[in-house]
Amino acid sequence: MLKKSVLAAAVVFALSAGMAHADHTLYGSFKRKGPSVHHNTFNAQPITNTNTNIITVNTSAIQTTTATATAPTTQTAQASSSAAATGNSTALTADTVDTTPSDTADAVDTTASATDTAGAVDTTASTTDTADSVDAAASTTDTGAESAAEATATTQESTDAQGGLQASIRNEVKNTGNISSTVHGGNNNMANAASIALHGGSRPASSVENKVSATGEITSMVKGGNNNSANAASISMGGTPVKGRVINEVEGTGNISSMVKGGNNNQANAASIAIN
Amino acid sequence: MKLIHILTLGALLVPPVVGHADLLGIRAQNQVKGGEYSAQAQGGNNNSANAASIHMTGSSARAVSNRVRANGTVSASATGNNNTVNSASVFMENSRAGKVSNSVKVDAIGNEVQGNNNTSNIGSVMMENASAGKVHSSVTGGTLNGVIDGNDNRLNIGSVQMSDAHRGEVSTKTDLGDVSVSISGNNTDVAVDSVVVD
Repeated sequence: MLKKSVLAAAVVFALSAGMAHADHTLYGSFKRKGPSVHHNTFNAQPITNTNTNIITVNTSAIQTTTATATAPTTQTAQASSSAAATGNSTALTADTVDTTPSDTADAVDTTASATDTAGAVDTTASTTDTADSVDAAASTTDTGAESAAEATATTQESTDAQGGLQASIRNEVKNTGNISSTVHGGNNNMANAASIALHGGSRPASSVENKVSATGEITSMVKGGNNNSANAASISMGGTPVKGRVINEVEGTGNISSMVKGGNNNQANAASIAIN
Repeated sequence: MKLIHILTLGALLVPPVVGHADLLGIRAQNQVKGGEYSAQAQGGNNNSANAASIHMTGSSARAVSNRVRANGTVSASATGNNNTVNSASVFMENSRAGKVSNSVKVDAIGNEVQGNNNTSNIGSVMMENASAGKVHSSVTGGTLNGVIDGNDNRLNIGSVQMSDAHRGEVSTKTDLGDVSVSISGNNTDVAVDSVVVD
């Protein structure tokens, strides 16, 4: 009996140690013994676009950007980022996370960001907004089921981050100058500025978050052609399952405009979410 | 003793399985503050222009929340046929949501549509062949302006409009300044500060 207990304890200890380590360890140990309980494949990592960098990601790409740029204290002028192209099947990204497979033209703005003082101002403004208070109160009245679901969502995102099953996609743009993206003529084009675009059967995402603050004017434009999309400070999704939240936050920016000129089946989004 | 061992092993193995349970749906949340926002679709057909809005087609979400605080003007415009133009609005078609909320506080909103069979929403919630457990629309605005030139168009201002929709509780709250509507054409459906269920 003592030997059996010691043996059982050893097995439990081994399993616990395996779970405490990377998922690969657990996956491997179970896979050899038949059907696996776990299903860990590191096919995606969290995608974070901070400040004014450009990240263009193919659906199979693995890219992680968590660096935070710091601007020289003497930097006062705001920079601009822009992208433009002519032709078919073009996806332009300016301060954008774009998981559409057909990325052919990119522009990179390496302008660093300054300390976000505007954000502090916005926070103050929010506290004086009575309507906001009402909304906040309304939020607290969410049903228990919703709260539970959100808690589950949080757990899910955490679990996914560890397991790598679904990646969160986050695009954050702060303290920039003007941002513009333009496509002239052609079909199946996409012009994104400070936006997230998920199309073409992208891998599932645990959450999608686009935050744009303290920027200059944001403009996206597609001129002529069919099946085009112009997104400015927006999230545009199609064919990509998302398990968690889809959040688009825009504040303290200049004018935001999107335009589609001519053609059919086009879409222009400004500070919006479009899920198709 | 064997039972204890089995239970111990079970307790260790079950939590990871539960942790990977699928969720029921997503939460779509759009928050906009400050500035001017405009979306335009000029010429062509079957276009969509969304400014500070959420537009869902063929999707499902647990909660859909559009929250707009703009000091400037929110505007959307389209020329052509079969277009959809949304400003500070939620538009759902062939979609489902547990809870839909549209909270808008802006200085001015203006939509302009030229053509036929177009839909223009200003600070509104519109559902076509969609279902929602709860719908709330709150609009506070200074000047709201809607222009429609064409036939068979639909214009919603500070309204909730549903067609072929299954819904639970619907609540609206509007505090608007000047509202102006300019229409030319036939078979135009206009709703201002209204709830319309077809």
